[in-house]
Formats: sequence, C-alpha cells, structure tokens
Amino acid sequence: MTASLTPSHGQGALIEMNQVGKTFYSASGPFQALKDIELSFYRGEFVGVIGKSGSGKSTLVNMITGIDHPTRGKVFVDGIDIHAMPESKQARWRGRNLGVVFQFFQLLPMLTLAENVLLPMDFCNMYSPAERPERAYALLKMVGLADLAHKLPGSVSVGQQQSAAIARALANNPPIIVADEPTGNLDLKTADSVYNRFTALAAEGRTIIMITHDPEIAGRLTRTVTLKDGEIINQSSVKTLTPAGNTTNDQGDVNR
Amino acid sequence: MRPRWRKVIADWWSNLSRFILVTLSLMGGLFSIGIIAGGYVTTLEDMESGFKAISPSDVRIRTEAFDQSLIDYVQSLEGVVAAEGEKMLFAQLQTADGEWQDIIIRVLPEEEQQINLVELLEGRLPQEQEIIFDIHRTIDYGIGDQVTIQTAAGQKRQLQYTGTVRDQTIGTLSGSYFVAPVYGYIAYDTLPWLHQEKHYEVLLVTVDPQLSAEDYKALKDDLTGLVEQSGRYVFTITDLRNNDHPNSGYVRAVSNLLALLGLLSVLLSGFLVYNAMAALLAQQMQHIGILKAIGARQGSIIKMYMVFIFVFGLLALIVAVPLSAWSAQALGQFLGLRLNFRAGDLRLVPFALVIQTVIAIILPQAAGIIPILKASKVSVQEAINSTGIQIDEFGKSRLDRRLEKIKNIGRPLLISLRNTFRRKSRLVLTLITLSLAGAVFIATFNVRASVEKYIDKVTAYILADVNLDFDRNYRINEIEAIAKTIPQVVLVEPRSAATAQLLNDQGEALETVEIWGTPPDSSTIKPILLDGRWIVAGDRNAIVLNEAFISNYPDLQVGDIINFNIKHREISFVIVGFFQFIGNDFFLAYAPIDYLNEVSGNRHKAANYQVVADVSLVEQDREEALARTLDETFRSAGFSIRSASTSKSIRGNATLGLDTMTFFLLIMSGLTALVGSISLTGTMGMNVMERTREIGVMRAIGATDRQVMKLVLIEGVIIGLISWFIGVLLAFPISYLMSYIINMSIFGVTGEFSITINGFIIWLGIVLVLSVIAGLIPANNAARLTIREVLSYE
Amino acid sequence: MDTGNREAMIEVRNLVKTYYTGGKPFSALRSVNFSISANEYVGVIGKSGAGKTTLINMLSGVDQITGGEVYVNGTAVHALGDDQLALWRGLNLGVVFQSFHLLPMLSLLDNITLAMDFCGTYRHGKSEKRAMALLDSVELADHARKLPAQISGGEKQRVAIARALVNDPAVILADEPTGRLDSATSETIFRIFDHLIARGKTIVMVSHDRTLADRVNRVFNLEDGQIISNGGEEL
Ligand SMILES: Nc1ncnc2c1ncn2[C@@H]1O[C@H](COP(=O)(O)OP(=O)(O)OP(=O)(O)O)[C@@H](O)[C@H]1O
Ligand SMILES: Nc1ncnc2c1ncn2[C@@H]1O[C@H](COP(=O)(O)OP(=O)(O)OP(=O)(O)O)[C@@H](O)[C@H]1O
Ligand SMILES: [Mg+2]
Ligand SMILES: [Mg+2]
Repeated sequence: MTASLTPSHGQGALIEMNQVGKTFYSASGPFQALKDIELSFYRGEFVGVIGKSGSGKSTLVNMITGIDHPTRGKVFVDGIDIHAMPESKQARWRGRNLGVVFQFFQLLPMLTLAENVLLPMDFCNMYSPAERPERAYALLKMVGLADLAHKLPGSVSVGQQQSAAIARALANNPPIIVADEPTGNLDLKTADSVYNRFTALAAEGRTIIMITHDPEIAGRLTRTVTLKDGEIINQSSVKTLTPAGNTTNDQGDVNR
Repeated sequence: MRPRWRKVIADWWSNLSRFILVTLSLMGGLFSIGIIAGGYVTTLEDMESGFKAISPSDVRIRTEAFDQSLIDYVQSLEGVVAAEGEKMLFAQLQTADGEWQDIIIRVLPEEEQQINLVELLEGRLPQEQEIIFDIHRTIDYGIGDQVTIQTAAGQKRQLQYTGTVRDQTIGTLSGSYFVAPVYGYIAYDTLPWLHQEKHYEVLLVTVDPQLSAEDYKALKDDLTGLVEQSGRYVFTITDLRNNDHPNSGYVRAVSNLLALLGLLSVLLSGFLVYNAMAALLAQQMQHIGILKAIGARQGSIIKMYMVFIFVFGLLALIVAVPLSAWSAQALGQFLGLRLNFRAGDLRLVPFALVIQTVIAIILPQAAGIIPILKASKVSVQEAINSTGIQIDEFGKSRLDRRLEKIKNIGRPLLISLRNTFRRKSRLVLTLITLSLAGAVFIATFNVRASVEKYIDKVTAYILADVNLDFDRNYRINEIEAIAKTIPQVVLVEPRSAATAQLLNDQGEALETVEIWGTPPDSSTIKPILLDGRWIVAGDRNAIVLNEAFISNYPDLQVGDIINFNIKHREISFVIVGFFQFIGNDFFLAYAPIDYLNEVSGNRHKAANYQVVADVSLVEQDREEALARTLDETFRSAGFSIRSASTSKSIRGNATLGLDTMTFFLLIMSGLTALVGSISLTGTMGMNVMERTREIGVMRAIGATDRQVMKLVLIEGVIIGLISWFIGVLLAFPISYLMSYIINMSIFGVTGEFSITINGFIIWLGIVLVLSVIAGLIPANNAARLTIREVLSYE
Repeated sequence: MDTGNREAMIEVRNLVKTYYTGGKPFSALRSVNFSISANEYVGVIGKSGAGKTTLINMLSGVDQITGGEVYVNGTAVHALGDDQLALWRGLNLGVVFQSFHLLPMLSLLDNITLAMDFCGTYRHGKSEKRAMALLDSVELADHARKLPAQISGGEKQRVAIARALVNDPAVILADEPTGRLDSATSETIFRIFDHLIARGKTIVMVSHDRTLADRVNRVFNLEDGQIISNGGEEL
C-alpha cells in the first residue's frame, strides 16, 4: 500500500518530493527540520498535513511552494523541478499555479483587503482588468468580508485577515492550493465554510494541501500525512477520487 | 547586562546595512558643514593674519635714486616703525625653449627685510648672482638651475636659482595679482652684475598702528617733504595703510559664498539627519508598542532610544570631524595657492565643531524623541499595528481617491504611487533636502556661467592682438612708423599712463589713481559701461572712472567735475561715464590721450601701444609670432622694450582669478551633489529596506523580480523628479544670490547674471541615476534572499 | 475613587469601544457589562470579528477605552495614564497576544527576561533561570537562543505564553493561546493554565477550541460587540 503512494515521477503524481531534507543553522546549532521526505500528491486530493508543533509541517509545504529551498533532494510539480527554475520564472509560475495561505497571512499593509485580493491577478495578468474587481469582491464575500473590502489589514481582526488571505490565495483560481493553518484564527463556523470551499475545489480536480490542527476536519480529507521530528510517521490511505480531469473540466491542470 | 541594553545592541547589529546607511547620511551632512564652516573661518582668518605677518608697507614713495642714508633718516622719525628701500627691474626670463617671458625683479634690501616680507618656502635667500622666484607662476626651472635674464637694455646674464618664496604683495600696485608676470628676487649686491646702479627707487615705510588718522597724515606729509627737501622728485606716494591683502576681494567672495552655502548646508544636514532618524525610528514604532505592552515606561524607552541614537551621531562625528577638518584645510591650501595667501595648518575650528556636534548629537535626539512621543500618544495597540501608514488619513486622502479614479492604472503602479506618498512627512523632508541640494548644485553652474560671461566682457578691454610695453615713453609717430614696417600691422594705438592723486574740495590727496590715455572711439576697447559714455572724438578733459570710484565715492555722478593732482598740477576733469573693470579697490580711469599727455608733460609720447594685425589672427601662435617679430624689431632698433605680449595671454592671466572662483564653485557643487546623493540614497534605501517583507509577499504571490524592481524604481523616479522640479524653481533665487555675492565681493557692483542649462540637466541625470541605484540595491538584496527569509524580516 | 466591586477581580461597566476608519465610526464593543471574581477561569468565544480581541485589549489597557469603566484587581484601568498603565500591566497582568508581538532582534530567552527588566523584577542570573524554566514548561528549552524568525508558528505562540507568565501575574489574559497548536501541545498549555488556576490566578481566555466549555468555569459568548450569554451571571 505504501508503495502505491509513492509512484515514480510521471505515473500521475502531480507533486513529487524526492529525498527532500532541510537543515537550519542558528545559534542553537544545526537543526534538521526535514529528514529525507519521500512524498507525492495527486490531482483532486485534499491532503491534511498534521503533527505536533515544530514537527516540520510549515517547512515541508515551503518546499512545495518554493518559498524556501531544500538542503537536499528535489521537488517536482507536474514534472518540473521547481528548485532548478530560475527565481524570476518561479515567481510567475507560482502566481499562476499555486495559491498560498501563509501561517501569518502576509497581506500588504498599504493595500485594502480588496486590493490585496486583486494583486495576484494584476501581477500574473489573469482575467481581464474589468473582471478582476468583481472576482475579488465575490471571493471576499465567500469568506464573509464583503463589508470590509475597503478596509486596510491593520484595521480588521486577526481572523478577518486570515480570511482575506484565503481569498487572495484563490484569486488566480490556481490548480494547487497550499494553506498553512488557514483556520487557526477562525471560529468554528467560519472555518467550516472554508473547509466546504476547499472540498468543492478538490472535487473540481484541484489539489489542496493544508496544515491543520483541527481533529474534526479529518472526515473531509482524502488523506492525512503525519509528521514527527521532520519525518513522515503515518499516512492514511488515498481515497478513491472522482475522476475529474477528463469530462467536466481541466481546472486541475498546471499551467506551464 | 540588562536585557534592555541587549535589545539596543541587537538593534545596531541586526541590520548592518541600515546602520551604515544612517551613519553615512549623518556623516555626509556633518562633513559638508565641517568643510564649509571650517573653510569659512580659516580662509578669512588665514588671509588676514598671514598678511599682517609680512608687515605690509603703509606708505610707498616712488622717487629718484637714494641710498641707506635716507632710509636711516626716515627710520628715526617719530611714528615710523620701519623704513626700507626697494627697487624693481622689468626684465625678461628665458624659458626652457629659448623664448623670453616677462619678469619683474624685486631687489631685496641690503639689510634684513622688515617690510613686505617674502616668505621663504624652499631653498634659501639669494646671494650675489643668485635669484629666487615667487610661486604664483610656475617656471621651467628647478632650484639649483642656472637661469638667463635679459635686462630691458638687452644684456643677458646668468643667475643661480636658489629658492622659492611667497610674496603676498604681488598685485598691490598693478591692481591685479592675476595679470602679474613672474616675480624674481635678487640681493642688492647683484645689481651691478645686471648692469644696474646700486641704489633704491622706492621708499617703503611702516608706521605705528596706534597713530591717529591726523598724525598719520601729518607723518605722510613730513615724509614727502623730507624726500623732496633731499632734492629728489617724488613720482608717486601711495597710501596703503588700510589696505587688505590684494586678493581680499576674492577671499571675501569665497567666504561670503561659504557663509551662504554653510547656512544652506546646515539646513540640509539638519533635514538629512532628522529624516534618517525619523526613518530609523518609524521602523521601531512596533517595538515601542511591544515594549510598552510588556511594562516599559516612557522614561525607560526614551533612555534606551537616546543611547541607541547617540551611537549613530557619535560614530558619524568621529569620522566626519577629522575628515572635514582635513578637507577644509585642503580647500584652504588650494585657495591659498590660487589667491596667494598663507593657509594655516590643520586645525579644529571651534565654531564648526559646535555646529557639527549639535547636528550629530542633539538634533538626532530631538528627531528621535518625536516618534517616541507619538508612540506614546497613540495606544499600545495602535503603535503595534502601525506599519508607518497614517491609517486614518489614508482612507480619505484626496490624492489617493484621485489615483483610484484613474482607470486601469494597475495595482502595481498604484502601489508605487501610494508608497511614494505613504509617509507624507518623510517625503516632504526628503523633498526639501533633495531640492535644496539640487538648487545649490544647479546654482553653482549658473554662477559659473555668470562669471564666465563676465570674463568674456572683461576681455573686451584688450581687443588688440599684441600689447607693446616700453620701459619709458617714446614718440608716438616714431613707434608707429617702425611698427608699420611689419606688413601684418594695420593699426598702432598708443596708450599713455599717468599716476594721479584724487583730490577733495580742499585740494587734499585722497587716492592714487592710474589714468590711462586712449585715443577717442578706440577700436581696441569695448568697455562695460555702468553709466554715461566712453571717450569720444572731441572730448578734451573728459574722464571715465572705474567701479572703485562708485564703491568708495558713491556721490560721484556723470557730469561732475573731478580734480586730480598730476605732476604737482591740479587738473580738472568732467566725468562722462563709469565703466566696470576686473575688480579690487584699484582706482582706474580713462581720459583722452592727447589731453592727458599734455597735462603730464609727455606730449606725443607713450610707453604702451596696442597693435592690431590685418587678418584677425585667431590662432595664438600666429599672434605670438607677431609679438616676437615686434619685440625683435624694436629691440634691434635700440628701444628699451619691456614686453610684447599677445592679448590672449593677457586675457588668460586676467581671468585666472575668476577661474579660481569657478573652480571653487565646482568643488562646492560636487560637495552638494555628494550630500544630496547621500540623502537620496539613504532615504530611498531605508524606504525600500523597510518594505523588504512586502517585496517578499509580492514575490510569493506571483510578482516577478522585474515587476518588483519596476515598483521600486518608479517610486524612486517619482521622488527624484519632484525634487528636481522644486530644485529647479529654487535654483533661480539661489543662483541670483550667489552671483550677487560674488559680484559684490569682487567688483563691488551687481554684475552679470546668467543661466545655463547644464546644471539643470546634470542634476536631473544625477537624481535619476541615484534614485535607480538607491532603490535597486536594497530591492536586489530582497530578491536574493529566499522568500521565507524575507517574510521573517523585520 | 470608586474601586468597583470589592470581590470582583475584573469588573466591566458599560464598556464601549469605537474604531474610526477614514472618519467612519465602527462600534466593536457596545455597552459590555460583566464581573469576574478572583480565581475564576473564563472563556470567551464568538465569531471572527465579534470583538474578542478588542475586549481583551480593553482589559489590559493596551488600547484606548471609548466609554465605560474597567476595574482589574482593584485598579481603574480607564483612569490610568500611559506610564502608570505600562508598569501596572507588567506587574499585574500576563497578556498573551493573538499575534504574539515578540521582538524580532532578541533571542527567545531575552524576549522573556526583557519583560522582567522593565518591571524591575530582573535579577541577573536568577531571572535567566526563571525564564529557562518557563521555556522548558512550554517545551522550548532547546530553542532558547534562537531568534523568533527561526522558530515555528506554534513555538512562537508558546514563547508568548511563557513571557506572559514571567512576572507571576495575578490575572492572565490570553488571546487564542492555542490557536496554532496541535491537540497534544494545546493540552500542555491547558494544563499550565489549570495549574495557575490552582494557584489562585484569574484567567480570561479567548479560544476557538472545541473543548473549551469543559475546561473553564464560564463562557462569554460575544456577538457583534455584545455579550449574548455569559454562562449564568445576569446580563
Ligand atoms: N483598528 C481597527 N480599526 C477599525 N476596525 C477595527 C480595528 N480593529 C478591529 N476592528 C474591527 O472590530 C471588530 C472586532 O475586532 P476584534 O479584533 O476584536 O475581533 P475578534 O473577535 O478578536 O476576531 P478574531 O477572532 O478574528 O480575532 C472587527 O469587525 C474588526 O474589523
Ligand atoms: N530558520 C530556522 N532556523 C532554525 N530552526 C528553524 C528555522 N525555521 C524553523 N526551524 C525549526 O524547525 C522546526 C520545524 O519548523 P516548522 O515551522 O516546519 O514547524 P511546524 O511543524 O510548522 O510547527 P507549527 O505547527 O508550530 O507551525 C521547528 O522546531 C523550528 O524551531
Ligand atoms: Mg507552522
Ligand atoms: Mg481576535
């Protein structure tokens, strides 16, 4: 069973991590945050990454988004070695293919929530300029921020900032969404609506990787990956996926 | 160590580039103040004290040959401190390539020098058959060489070159130090070797400085009487008692300019320092909020930040003070060399030090206290949340609304625009600093243009091709006839000179004036008339006066009668005009030559001739060839000729002093450009650095490096362009003011004012290049880090 | 001066907080009243944006009170000046901020000892030992020398908790102290809090934790800036 989870590159895995390791150096000496991770993700999956605080979850997803570089090993996304890609190409590629929700949101403080959501579309030239504001507004409404669209991040609550960050991650309608504790500051109801949205996106064929501490969410996930001390200690089985790609849409395909 | 000091230390070291930027900004400001204030104090002081130290003569009497006995007698008079004899020889010095160049040889007194001391710089004083030179003109020889001198009578003699000196009196009499030829100095005993009589012709006297004006005048009269009683004719008696250094006008111009620039640079540095501190502390707003949240009281916070800020100022001060003192001295040395005064040694100017200390230590504290107090006015929560944006102001900002309205402006461009105007007070300060620096920079170019324009006009007094100078008067038609034998010569215009005493209504002598006789409607002079007209045909006792009369006797008007003592006769002239000449307090006048010759008893004679050649001889060497031909022709015909020089070389020499000014201005513009650059780089750099994290976020959500760079660059260019525009506007009044200062100091009149496009364009270039560099470096830095590192940047 | 209800550790009367954004007022708290007695363990829940953080900020005095009265441990918070407030807060309150607010240039250890420095409780050596013990209790002793940028989100949260406890305050105000923690680590934190209650401290804690109701004495439910239920006490 474990073997089927890690098929070699090309056999349908959208994201493939090969022997990925990461060592940090700090005043406390070197610290191995990831140890030879072998892991694959498939189209239409909704994967939960769980584990104790400090186990390496954020470090792991940073390897996939290209936000940090591995010390060892390679990461392929749809066959592309993303860490071999030049930095300038990586930005555009990430903007179009990845929606990232950061653990600390990282909204731009001088832009309103609506402008923050518009920004990825502007940078990557997605959607026509006329369509963009409408889309941004729809996304904010989805996360319950319709009334706050024109406020600056500094003058809304922490949970509201997190919601805006989720809306921004979805702006370019990316095939892959990577979210680091997207509901850590959300009340249960708001969190629930985010889960619903993610489930629907996964059903469309998008791939969602989410770090979470919420035990209730397990039922919605297609798979969980459990980390401990930088190693994968447990993976639940891959659920049968609705074959999305062929018939209804090709939303889950990575743009090159 | 207590944890709070660990925070302060970590603040210095955790962001080294910011530390360096802020310290550099401070240093730039302090440096410019140091060099300007230091230069201001030292140049004037050095010139004055240096000139006093050579015991300049108070009275100078040119008379017939005399010897030590007369000197001894004068010396014994009450009120006389020292008396000394002098003799000047006009001769020629052979250059390395065999040509002849004019030289004035001052004969040093037999006894030790007491008046108009020459300051030995190198080598030793001359003994028999030796010569030493003044440093103001470079010559082809070095100490130890043999040089050849040709006397006015044509004898050639070899002398040994044994030393160099500085003679600060050069220019006292001729009116311009800058047109002075080479000066050489020989021992009294060398005179026979040069076929000269061993005697003096000029009596130099210094008097008791306590002497009242009346006593002094009485003494002067006694001296004249005494010389005349001895049977000698007194040619001129020149009163130099209150005279400054001959180039004091230039030094005054320089120091007045420095005062203006100093004022501006204090302002500039003040803003610069304030801005750097404000930027530094804006980033600390959140920290101040956090500190308060965990129990820190305002007093503790203020103390921490005072120490934090103090180190920047202290460091900048430690570097800037010696550096600027050294540079001020270098500036002094340069000016001293160009303007013939003795620049002092390396020293700290207390005045400069005080200003520097205030700006380095006190101003930053004042600047620092503002954000701390601001942080304490808002709640802890707001301080922590502040991202430096004036949140409330922002939503309703009119500018912002207007930006919103521009359709399809694009979010990235909007970010640039908004970032530009994000920190309004900082932006305003940056703009003031930059605009001021720009304005001064541009102004220096305009002032140079004005000075150059003036130089052009001054050369209009010497339009002829060759200037012939004889050792004594010759008959005009004789000289004309000989000169005309040379085929190129088309016009020979005589110039005669007479020394006169300007008289007041009571018939007392006021000033020594040099009156030049010129044919009416001369074609070799195009005077700059300040008032009235030039000498025209039919004029008889008409006279045109230079600007020295205007500044010393402002009541004089065109149409007034003015009286002179010429050769013991009181002669009246009618003022028909005023003209402007190159400066100083030197009294100069032009009158019709025939009338002047008549009253000075030199009918039909002149010692100076302006020669015009047939083709306009544009190339200098063709003029030179003509000059040489004239020289040889007259010499071989037995005339005692002092020099035949091309007008171009005279023009070149005449404008040397003004060149010094333009060069000085160039240094100043360089300095302001430096300070301006530092300020722009500092502010831009800090702005971009503050946004390192935002840059990371933009990269993380799909912005390419090029897009990020574009944002940063547009912001820099917007700031640069606005400041340039304001600088352009400010440049006009500042240019005018600086031109005014120069003209007033040197010429005593408001002179030319001219604008050149160069300064404007060069500054635009500097501003653009700097804004690009200042933004690119930190932005590039942000692009080199991984996004994770950037996102955790504070 | 009215010192409020003597038995109450925290007493809030007609508390109003209005934010102004671009001149437009927004009421984050509208007339909130409650009292919490000493050694009570109170949970605060409510939708995102309900005003929970705002309420905590009012109790700790880090933000300006628009209207009403707040008494904590016998002190009229609304009447204190900025400076008095800072010292009082440092000595009497332990505040865990939702966004942690650690100082980025200081190591975790220094971040904690700094809080003692300002309140005059810093003693060289002894304080470091206490800080280490606190870091150890939140399982971070190994990371003591790291900078905040070099630790994970959950680790930062735990540093913030350790810092809040350093001056052994009588009242602890915690804004989502377990928001970023897995259930096992959350459990560690909750046990620390239980221990504090056992030592007689008073705790007000904002949390989305599903098990919150079972852990605390009382739950305040905030909605649109008002308490809609407070677990028994009359409104
Ligand atoms: N500085 C501010 N300016 C204007 N409005 C603000 C400001 N801070 C918060 N708000 C608004 O006040 C309301 C309450 O905010 P608060 O931070 O108290 O919410 P919260 O209950 O803590 O939410 P969360 O669970 O998301 O942290 C929110 O609607 C928010 O948008
Ligand atoms: N820059 C760094 N330098 C040194 N150590 C680091 C650095 N970044 C992270 N670590 C360490 O690596 C380990 C894994 O960090 P990571 O952020 O991946 O944890 P996490 O699983 O996301 O935890 P959490 O749930 O608390 O966010 C942690 O113990 C952390 O202290
Ligand atoms: Mg994490
Ligand atoms: Mg909150």
